[in-house]
Amino acid sequence: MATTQQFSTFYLADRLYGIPVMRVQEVTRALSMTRVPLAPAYVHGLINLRGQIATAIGLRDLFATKDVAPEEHMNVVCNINGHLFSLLVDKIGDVMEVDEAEFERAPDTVPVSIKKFMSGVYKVKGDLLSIINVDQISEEIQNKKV
Amino acid sequence: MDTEEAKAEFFGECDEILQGVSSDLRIIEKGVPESNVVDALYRNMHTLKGSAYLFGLNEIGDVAHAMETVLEPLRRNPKAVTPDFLDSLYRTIDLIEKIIDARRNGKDSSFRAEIDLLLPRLIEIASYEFSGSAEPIRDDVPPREVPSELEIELRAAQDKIVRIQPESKVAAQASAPAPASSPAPSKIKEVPKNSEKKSMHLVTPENSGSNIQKIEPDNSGSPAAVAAGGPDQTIRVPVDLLDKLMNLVGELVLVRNQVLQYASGTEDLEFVNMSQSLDVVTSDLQGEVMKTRMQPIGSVLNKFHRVIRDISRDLGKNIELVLEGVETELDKTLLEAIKDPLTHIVRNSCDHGLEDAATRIASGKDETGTLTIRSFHEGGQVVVEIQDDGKGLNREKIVEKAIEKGLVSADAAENISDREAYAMIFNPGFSTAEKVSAVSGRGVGLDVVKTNIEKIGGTVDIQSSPGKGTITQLKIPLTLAIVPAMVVRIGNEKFAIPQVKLVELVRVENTEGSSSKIELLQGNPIFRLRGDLLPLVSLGDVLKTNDSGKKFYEQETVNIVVLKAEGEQFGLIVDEILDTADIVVKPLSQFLKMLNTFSGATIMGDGSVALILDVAGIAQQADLNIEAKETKKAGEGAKNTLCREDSDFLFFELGTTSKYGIPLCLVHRLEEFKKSVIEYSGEQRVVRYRDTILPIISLASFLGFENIESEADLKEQEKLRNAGVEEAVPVIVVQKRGRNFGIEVKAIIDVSSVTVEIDDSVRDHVGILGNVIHEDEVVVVVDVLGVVESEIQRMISTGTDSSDSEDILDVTASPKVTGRILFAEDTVFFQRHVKKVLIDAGYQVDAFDNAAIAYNQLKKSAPNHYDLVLSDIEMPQMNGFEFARAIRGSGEAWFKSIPLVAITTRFKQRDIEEGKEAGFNVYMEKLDSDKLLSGVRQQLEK
Repeated sequence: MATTQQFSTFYLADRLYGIPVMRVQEVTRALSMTRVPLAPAYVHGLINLRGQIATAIGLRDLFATKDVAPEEHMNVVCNINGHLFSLLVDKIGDVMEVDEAEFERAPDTVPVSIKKFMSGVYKVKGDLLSIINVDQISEEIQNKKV
Repeated sequence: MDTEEAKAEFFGECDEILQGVSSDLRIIEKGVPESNVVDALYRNMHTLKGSAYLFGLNEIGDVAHAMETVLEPLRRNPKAVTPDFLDSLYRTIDLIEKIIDARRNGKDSSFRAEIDLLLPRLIEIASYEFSGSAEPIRDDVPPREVPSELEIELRAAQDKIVRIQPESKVAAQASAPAPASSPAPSKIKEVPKNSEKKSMHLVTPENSGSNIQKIEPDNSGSPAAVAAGGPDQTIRVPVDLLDKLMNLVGELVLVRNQVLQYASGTEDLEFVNMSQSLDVVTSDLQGEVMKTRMQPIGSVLNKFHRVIRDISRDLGKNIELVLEGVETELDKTLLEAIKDPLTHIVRNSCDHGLEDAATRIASGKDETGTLTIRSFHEGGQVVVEIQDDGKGLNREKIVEKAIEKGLVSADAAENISDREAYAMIFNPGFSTAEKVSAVSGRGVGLDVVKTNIEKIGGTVDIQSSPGKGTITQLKIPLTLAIVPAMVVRIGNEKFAIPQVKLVELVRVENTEGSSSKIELLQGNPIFRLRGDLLPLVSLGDVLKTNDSGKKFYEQETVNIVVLKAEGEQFGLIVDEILDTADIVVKPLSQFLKMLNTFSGATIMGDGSVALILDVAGIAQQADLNIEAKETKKAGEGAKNTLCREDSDFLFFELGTTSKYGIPLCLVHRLEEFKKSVIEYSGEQRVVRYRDTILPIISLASFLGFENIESEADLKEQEKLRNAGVEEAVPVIVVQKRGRNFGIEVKAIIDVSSVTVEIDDSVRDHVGILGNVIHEDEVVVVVDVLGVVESEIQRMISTGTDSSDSEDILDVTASPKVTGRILFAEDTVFFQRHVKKVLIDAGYQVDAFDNAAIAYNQLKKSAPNHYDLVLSDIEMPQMNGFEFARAIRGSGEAWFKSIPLVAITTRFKQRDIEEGKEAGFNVYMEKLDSDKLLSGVRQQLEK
């Protein structure tokens, strides 16, 4: 009996990424953000999520991808260690259910700046689903000096 | 209802009982106690005993039983008791507390030894005390043999239990003390002295079923005591639940604000009416919920009676505690937070402020010193004043200590006010006490007090009159979660400022003719506010949102928000002052907390998020900005642009998607060898190269990459083979220790100039120095010499290269040269790298970011303290040439002769000439460790 896992998926710079579905609180369209002066570049602002304040993090900045961000973005909201983070992504994908057997370590061809946030990849119909470790994102952010 | 919850309830009851007992003992101490006081004390012990046994906490029960026993005669015949007797009572209570604490924290350790020591003594003292009384003392009654009246009643009550969880026998036991029906109610009488402690315990019977009530022992007809009012008047609620309630009310307040905002813009009268009703109800709800968390400050202050009693005994002084305003209410969490600071201040007053009896009499004061703690509400805050009539603070001593600690210069010390001087005792490590006592004086306390009070948004202030006494004043906000704030605008962003930090608002017409305008003092804007100079800070500048470049003080009207931080006032310039609002403070994420300018965020009435300014943080940031401006101004004279080190790099690939690079200066040659030419010498791949053997090191393998031959690669190789052309391997030849080494790569890309801002945070690999950005790509910088070095080590250890070992110049074989080097280098990466190389080679290095500082250091030190000076060329403020000239021209003999070595990343002939002219002995390359070390060595050996 094959074990499967479910991932909430999204696209960033034409790459497919996923986060374990249990770690994602919600996905929403772009919401107005309040800028945080003096904050690091990857903090795009603060969002009001029904009375709770979420910190918007630009994944492009963390991943150091060079391409230009599209006009519109979407939010993937995760609760990490009691704080709400909203990850800015290009497009939301479906919830995918993948077979554990298709799991592999992240290949060396992936740039270090992205690989450090990945826990691995899954082979899914003709594409690679890169799995993002949100705790790692939180840790990296804590450790970067402001 | 399970045992754990019941037990927790029990411990809660114990706390109350013990509080009551303490106040009872205090009354007894004062003279002949009224009978109801001793009754209450007796009954409390009785209750405690019963409950303890019920839970199997026999040790507690035994001690309580003993107390009960010795109080019996006093109860029958109230009289004034001796201090010894009281002491032993206190000690017994302490023991009970100790055991309770242990048990509530889950520790099962036995206190039997202490009990066996204490109780007989207690009984003995008691019999001595009451030996005149007619009743013989029963000191040998084993605790549980005599069924006390309570137990009889309990067993009877057990039969009357309503609503028990059927499966839980323990529940039955726990429910026992709940004779919800019959006997109790008619016999309840409120005990007068307990009403000073207004009951703040709201309990919920969240455990389904039984309603835990206090045990109401019925002793021979005397009125039953209920420790905190009648059974119906209070219930106990976990503080968590109240916190959640508070949060929800906060959310409701926000929604209410939004509704009101919307209503103000609508014509719909019905909606407006509804929103107004909502407003009223929400405000009321907010008020009431806040009240649930309020406790009278007396609950904390009353404990100080005991503290004072103990301290006065320890110190041999007579001290009386007077409490005023104990019913002043405060949020429970804030109460917890001020407990320790208050204790510390009280101890300090007793230890350092109040004098002993003899001294006091000699100065004409009353023998007994008085410590007064006054609490009251004022201006939305709770004020607690701790006043002693002791000897006051000694300004001279404090100032002396401050000068010693470098907090203030001797000149400035003349001019500071008394208040400022006294405030200095809040600095860490400050203590003017000659001897450190067990009570205080360790100099660790007062700064912690200040920090803790400020953490909850309060302030501490000290005033003193020499010879007369000292007053310490604490001001604490009423609650943390919802604060009144002032909203201001900068550009098109809004920010909230907590009103407690707000002093006043000033609007300045900054036109030429007006009498009050912004002035510049040494380049910093200030404003004269009723005679005092107020430093001004632009919020836009601090937050770097000011793009217009226009200075605020050039505007026609200026809005100043006068704030106070750390006892100092300053004016914050904003574009517009908007509304006041009650805002709900939401914490920022962990990592944003490091931004000292913001203390939280809130949601405005229109749903947008606004940041809350941290006034102290803004002040700090403003100071830093002023400093930065000054250094930049100084630096601007020397160089116009930020110093960047430009370097030529060679870029190549290793078969992965990343680009790699090494400084071009390290490259000796670039070669391409046909694959067939590569031979094996043992396990080492080598190539015959110009009369010697060239070891080939595969960088890809070194860094751990598997040989990834893509489809395209294999096809290419196939093609080449078929065409009879041999595949060529690109090799970078570098030199180390006088030998050549070949670094095999996949493909050479090109050579380019790179601004070397090496990000070495990803420095987790041997062989990687860090990253640079080139043409918007991340390039990994390889520590090629480090790679070669480890290969050499490997070769030596595996004996692979025995044949040519004589050729390897072993730097370590020659006698070690050491010395102390003064090193000036502003780029962190290079400073670290070179310093490490030098230290590893055995030198001592003092490194500085700034040549001016390095120069001062050189001047300050003893002649020949430094053996060599190493300096970068491109540095802000004072560059390498200026540094060299300064050294050579300074007059001292050893300055003229000390070896000066310049290190840089690129040198043209012109630079070298200028350098030599300025006084450098030699020029070295930063990233070539070997050359650097041999160069330094050479200079030192001269």
